[in-house]
Amino acid sequence: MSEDRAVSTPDPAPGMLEVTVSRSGGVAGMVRRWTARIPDDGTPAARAARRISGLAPAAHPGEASRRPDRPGSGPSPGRGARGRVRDAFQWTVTCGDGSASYDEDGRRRDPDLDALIDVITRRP
Amino acid sequence: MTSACETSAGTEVPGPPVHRRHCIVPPYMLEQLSRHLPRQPEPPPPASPFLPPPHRPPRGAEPGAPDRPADAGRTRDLGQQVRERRHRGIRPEGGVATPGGTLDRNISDARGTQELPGVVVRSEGAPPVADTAVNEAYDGLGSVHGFLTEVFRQSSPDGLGRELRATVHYGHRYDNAFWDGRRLVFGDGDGEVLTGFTPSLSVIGHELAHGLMQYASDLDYQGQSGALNESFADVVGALVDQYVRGHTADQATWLIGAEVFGAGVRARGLRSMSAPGTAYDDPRLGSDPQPEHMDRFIVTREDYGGVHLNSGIPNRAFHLAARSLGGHAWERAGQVWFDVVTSQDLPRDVDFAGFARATVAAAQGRFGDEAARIVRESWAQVGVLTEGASAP
Repeated sequence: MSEDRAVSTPDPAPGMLEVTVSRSGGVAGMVRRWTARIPDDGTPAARAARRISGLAPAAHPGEASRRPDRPGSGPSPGRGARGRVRDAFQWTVTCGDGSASYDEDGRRRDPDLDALIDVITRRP
Repeated sequence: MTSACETSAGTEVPGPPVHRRHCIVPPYMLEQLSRHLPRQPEPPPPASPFLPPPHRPPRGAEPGAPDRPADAGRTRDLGQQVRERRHRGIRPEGGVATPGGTLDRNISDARGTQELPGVVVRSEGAPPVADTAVNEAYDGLGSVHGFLTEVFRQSSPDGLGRELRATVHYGHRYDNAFWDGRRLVFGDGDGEVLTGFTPSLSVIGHELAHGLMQYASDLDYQGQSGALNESFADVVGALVDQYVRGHTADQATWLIGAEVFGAGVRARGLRSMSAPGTAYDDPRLGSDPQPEHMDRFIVTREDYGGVHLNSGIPNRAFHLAARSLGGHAWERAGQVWFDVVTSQDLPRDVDFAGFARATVAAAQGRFGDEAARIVRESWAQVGVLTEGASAP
């Protein structure tokens, strides 16, 4: 038996936002994580990151209030797939002290979030 | 500028006071990740192509005779058909023969986009096309449909609008296959670690089983009920694979997705039902994290509460039951599980123990005391049931 451990990374430089994206689910059921720093420059990705971190107002009720140590999440909670989709990916985005989970539908309905995940998970 | 790196970062998550375990962090890289499910609303899903008939014991099955396969005579008669129905290497001839004549397949091509349904490229009865993925999906749907109709009599006899739909080439290097509520959707994989899903009949069976579940017990896709949902999809995937190969429970590999990996990947499959946690161990994938016993139940918020992880526990229980009951797994263990899932009595949020008790009752009702004892013992061996069972 073992436990997940948070990876300690230096604080991001001023003007930068550190974001971790976790992808789970899929028919394979495998988990992947990406961490990257993005400039806090007002782009859609930065807007989404600030929102999730709590630095900006939540776009959806309850989104910014979630913290990693609390269950529940953003607009598409990780409390089970609400729709009929099975084996879809589930996305969890963490920035600062905030974290939110989304299913595929929740991701596509939020263009800023979509952009953020796209930036973070892009192949280097 | 973005500096991207993968980490094994993770946050311990709260949950009930049960055992916790690390979730894998496979480091393999993918270019394109899923982003878009269908943007346009579609009409409500059609009626199930597998409408369950009124429950009744199969012909030839008599309660109290657990060593006598259900419908054994029919199974023997199907032997030749089975041998001719292998998924790989066959050319479809308009699909397998189905008693109700309801087979109606429709394969579309998303052409690398994430827009569904895509362009129809092969419909029922049409000859094979040049695209292997299209033909594999077409053949696979036929095999699963044939299995369900012939073994479980799940096809609507009148064949009213029961189209089986699939889309291939979804997304760019999209490393997943899923059921979207109306159709099966297949990405092509990343081309390195995962090289596509349509070659795997167990994956096709798995996804179509999600459709069956949707119209049957429709178990909540979260936590233990979600893991049971996943497990039953694996059960169907494994059974249809065994069926087309003619394998008994002892002969079967009990692997899900053995055909989806690229060369050099140290993986036997996506999951092993006989030995959860041993399907793969590869530098790019990590090691298979599935638990095989309740002692190692995983608590996580990811994957809807670890539905693809903790499914290893009921998967192994099914495998143990099938092996102990003997013969072809679909004849008895499969029939029992199918009875439970297609019953109208199963709560949507059923947990492992509730599902286990339902299978014991179903085994008792269909096959008698000895079968019920075997099923109970199988659940006891994975730590789900304890009462009335001997130690493993």
